[in-house]
Amino acid sequence: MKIKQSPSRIAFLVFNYLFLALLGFLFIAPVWHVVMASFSDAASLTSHTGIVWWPLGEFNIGGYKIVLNSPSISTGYLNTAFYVIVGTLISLLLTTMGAYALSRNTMKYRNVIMLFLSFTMLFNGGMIPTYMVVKNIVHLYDTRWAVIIPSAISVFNLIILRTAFSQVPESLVESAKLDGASEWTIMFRIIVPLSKATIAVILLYYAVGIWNSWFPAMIYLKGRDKYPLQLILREILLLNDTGVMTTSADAVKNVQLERKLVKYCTIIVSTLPIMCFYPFIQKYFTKGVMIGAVKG
Amino acid sequence: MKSFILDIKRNKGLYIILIPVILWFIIFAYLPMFGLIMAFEDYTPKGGFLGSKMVGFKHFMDFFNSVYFGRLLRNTFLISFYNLIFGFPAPIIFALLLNEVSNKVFKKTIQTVSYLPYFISLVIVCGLVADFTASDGPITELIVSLGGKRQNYLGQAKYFRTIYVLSDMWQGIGFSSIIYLAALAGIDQELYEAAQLDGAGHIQRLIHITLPGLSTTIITLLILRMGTMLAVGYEKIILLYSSNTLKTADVISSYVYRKGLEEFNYGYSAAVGLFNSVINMALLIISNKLSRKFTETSLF
Amino acid sequence: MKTKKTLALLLSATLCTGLLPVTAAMAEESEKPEITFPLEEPITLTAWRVSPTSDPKLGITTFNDIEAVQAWEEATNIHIEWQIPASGQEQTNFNLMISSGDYPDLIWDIGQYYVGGLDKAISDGVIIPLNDYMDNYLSDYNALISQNDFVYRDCKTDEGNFPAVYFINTPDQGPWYGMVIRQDWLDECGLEAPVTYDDWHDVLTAFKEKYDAKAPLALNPNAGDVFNVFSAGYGVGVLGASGRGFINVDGTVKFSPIEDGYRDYLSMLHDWYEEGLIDPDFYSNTSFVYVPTDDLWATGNAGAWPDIYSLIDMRPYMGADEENQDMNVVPIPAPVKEEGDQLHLRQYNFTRGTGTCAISTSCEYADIAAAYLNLGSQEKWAWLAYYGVEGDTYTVEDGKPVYTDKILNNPDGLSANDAMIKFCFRSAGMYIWDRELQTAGPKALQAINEVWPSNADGDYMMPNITMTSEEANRYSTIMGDVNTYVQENTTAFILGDKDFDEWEDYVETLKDMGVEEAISYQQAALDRFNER
Repeated sequence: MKIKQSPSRIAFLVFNYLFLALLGFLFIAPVWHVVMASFSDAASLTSHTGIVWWPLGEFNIGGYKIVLNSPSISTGYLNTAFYVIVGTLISLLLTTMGAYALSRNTMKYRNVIMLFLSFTMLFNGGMIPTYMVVKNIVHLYDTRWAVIIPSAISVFNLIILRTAFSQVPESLVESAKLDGASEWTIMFRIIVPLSKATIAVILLYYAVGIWNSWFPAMIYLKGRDKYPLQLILREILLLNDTGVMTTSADAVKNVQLERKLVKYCTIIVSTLPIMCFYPFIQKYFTKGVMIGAVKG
Repeated sequence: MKSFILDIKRNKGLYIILIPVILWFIIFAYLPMFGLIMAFEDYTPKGGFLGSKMVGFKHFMDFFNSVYFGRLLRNTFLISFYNLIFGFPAPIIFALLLNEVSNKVFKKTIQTVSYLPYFISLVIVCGLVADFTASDGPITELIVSLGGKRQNYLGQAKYFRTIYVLSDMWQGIGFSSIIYLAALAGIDQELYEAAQLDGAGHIQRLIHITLPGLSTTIITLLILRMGTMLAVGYEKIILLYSSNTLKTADVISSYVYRKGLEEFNYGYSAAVGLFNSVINMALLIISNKLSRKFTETSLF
Repeated sequence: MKTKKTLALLLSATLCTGLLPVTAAMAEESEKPEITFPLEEPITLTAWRVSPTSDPKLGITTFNDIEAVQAWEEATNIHIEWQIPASGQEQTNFNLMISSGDYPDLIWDIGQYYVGGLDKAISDGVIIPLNDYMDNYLSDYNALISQNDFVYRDCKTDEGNFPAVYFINTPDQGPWYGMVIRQDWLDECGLEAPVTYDDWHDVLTAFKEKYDAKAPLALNPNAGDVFNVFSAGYGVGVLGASGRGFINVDGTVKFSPIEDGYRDYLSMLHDWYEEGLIDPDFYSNTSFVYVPTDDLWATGNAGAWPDIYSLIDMRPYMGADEENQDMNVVPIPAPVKEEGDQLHLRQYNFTRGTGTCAISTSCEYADIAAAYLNLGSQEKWAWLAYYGVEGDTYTVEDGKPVYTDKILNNPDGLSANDAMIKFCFRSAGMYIWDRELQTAGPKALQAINEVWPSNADGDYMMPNITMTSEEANRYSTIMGDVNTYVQENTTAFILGDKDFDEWEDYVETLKDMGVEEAISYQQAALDRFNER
């Protein structure tokens, strides 16, 4: 069935396409700048002002050579892969469990418990007490788990997921119950499949969060062998930042010509893999997997 | 208490599922909260929580009496406020506009592109902002060609908040819109078809189907947003401000950061942080209450 | 970052109120068994120390990857297990290490990171005082610091403790920071090197006109100019990282930003700002701390700026654009009001460096650790650390160590400085800083030895003072706000947003904030230092 579009509708559509295209340009231009700058000639880049539309000077991969030549980069990639895969799974599992239980309105005290969890969004003990708990009470110091477990649950994500779960019609759950399904079965067989889109979002949030995280690794790990990629790259960035020179005269000589170039290459090296991950997740948003009535 | 035990008995399965989650919260969120005692003492790393000198509300009084207290509160509030009224609806509108696009390739391209800025680290984003708004930067060139004044825009106190909020939006719109796009995808297509048969126009369908479909998500996120109202992070502020923009740019967290830099005073930082948390909690509770009253959606 | 380090430096600086009474240590001396290296049985010590480098291309992830460290291990039979914090997060990592109560045997760099000073580290039970070792296991270190009375006092604390083995600059270090100017521009303009502020004004104006330079003088009056090289002519210091505005005029502490000299200095900068002689965007260039950013010096936008001596010779090669490849940057003495004026503010001839290594209370082998730390004060061991293995990275010529081509012209293409990091390390005790002069260019040597010391001494600079913890608490509470206020107003006065008629109000406000109280703490600490 084809319906004729009204003139105002057409005007809107034209405007919409143009506007979104403009936005798209605004989003991509600075990113394009970073990519092109990373292939530029170091000296030309240093003195250039404005957006880099095309590699300056001769096409140059020298910056990437410097960044990727680090022996610790490959360990960094492997460590990060572990943290992202295992960490996301653990986070997702715990969050799903919490969100599921708290979304069932047969539970009378769920709001009290929700308050108990939400409270931690606003109040936290700070770095030192958390460190003491991780080191002296659960003894995770200098293990890979210290990077994953203490930051496993985000209340924010739990709330979003709970909202999605609560939109699944109660009747589905009740009929499953009559069939004798356990809570675990209901959770994994009914609720989770019906909330795929939201789960995909949360998965992405966690994966991106862990990919970008460096702080827990910095405080809980002793040696560089367990460092995630981001921490290693931070050190490279810092090394090339004139703003953090030390007061000692001879340390200052580290100033190098390539620093601006290395900065751009580092961004690409540290973000490209996770950017590539996105399209795999994206298909869940466009398919419209969630069926059934909107919240009644 | 009795009814609580009854509730547990009735929902045994659910509570068993909840146990690991509750345990996690007790260990990693509530146990460290004993550290808040720092706000009331001259904390030293060596003295620890129990061994440091108690000073009562001294840190709070120091903060309230500081010449900058009023200014910090105002700046923090204003930046949050602008971020809320411009930054919060932006991803919703973006998601709605994107939803109107029928060309799949175009839609996917724009969506993917919008998501890229989120991955550029804050340090770099701030570096780009500074470069682009310098007196010879591309944005300044654009403003000059439109008849504006040639100056370093980031260095002007009156433009600081605008630049801060706009760059925040640039970085976050795409990523934040994901959640709305997912919710839009979840709205039953049959509802639209039925409405169309009833002769409802695009606007009517937007008002009666799309927005109600998004409302739970929007309200949940809005309440959460209220709870972080005064939590303007220091990192970006510090990367962007300068001595000339302090009067509009300095916020509570950047002040605490500078204080910490001067004196490594954990107690003071903890006190100001606690003050911040209390206000945020009040805001969260109020907005939750209002929301429950008017929309029947609430967090707890 | 800088301010933090400097404060830590100030706080960790030591004073002492009187000579320590002769202790039982003397009597015990004979009972101490001699320790000779290499030890018969190998032992392992743990140590916390800031990373030697975070540069991935050097392939150094821990000190044990460095050949000179391996040579030390072999010669001492002591293996060190290092705890190395991630770069840029040293203070956080250090604080957590201290709060956990779990200390390694040796704590390097503690002087920079222990909040509240090393006396506090001792009374907190983190490290042991080394007094009992000074006459036996640390005798060489003792001899090293005893050469100079000022250094000896500087290495002691208020309480009379020797808290750690310091790095002692051997020999004394000249000023490594000062003004430079583009000689090629001066020549093309047919001008003499400027001496007074008036001369500078003329030269900068000429630069402005001839080269359309955006910032004829590249200067960051707030955070930059860390050693007051441009403000010294007015007898005042700036808030920069090192000075923090406090100066020591013949024993009296003054806070520069409330002095009339500071007003006059700002007034001059205001005029220069109006005339376009300084960077119009100076207040937003936060990455200009020690040296100007590339967009200023490398692109012909600046004709003069403060610089670090070792960079002068490298300037055009560090990224100057095509038109400025021939720039000839030369050191120039700091400007004065009247020709012949002697300046008293410049980088101090610190004979005691910032480095430290202390022995923690958890160390089981304190005797051995002390003897181990003493080695760095013996020339042969210091050379092994700072110059590496003889015949490999250095040879002895005329009794002096000289780097081989492995360092100076590294076959793998490393710069001399990178090669030094890769093959050598810094031991506590003798800090042979002048090794870097072997790689310094002619203009660098001229700057540090002749030009910059020529019209300036460091008499007004504050020495390494320590405040008591009560003083330090109040002081820092006051100064946090004061510094913000001064920075804001310095910018406002220079830009003309604030008129100089308002100077009195500005000073009054600072006094209301308690700046005089802060000065009194500085004064008390200085008095304790001078009274020794």
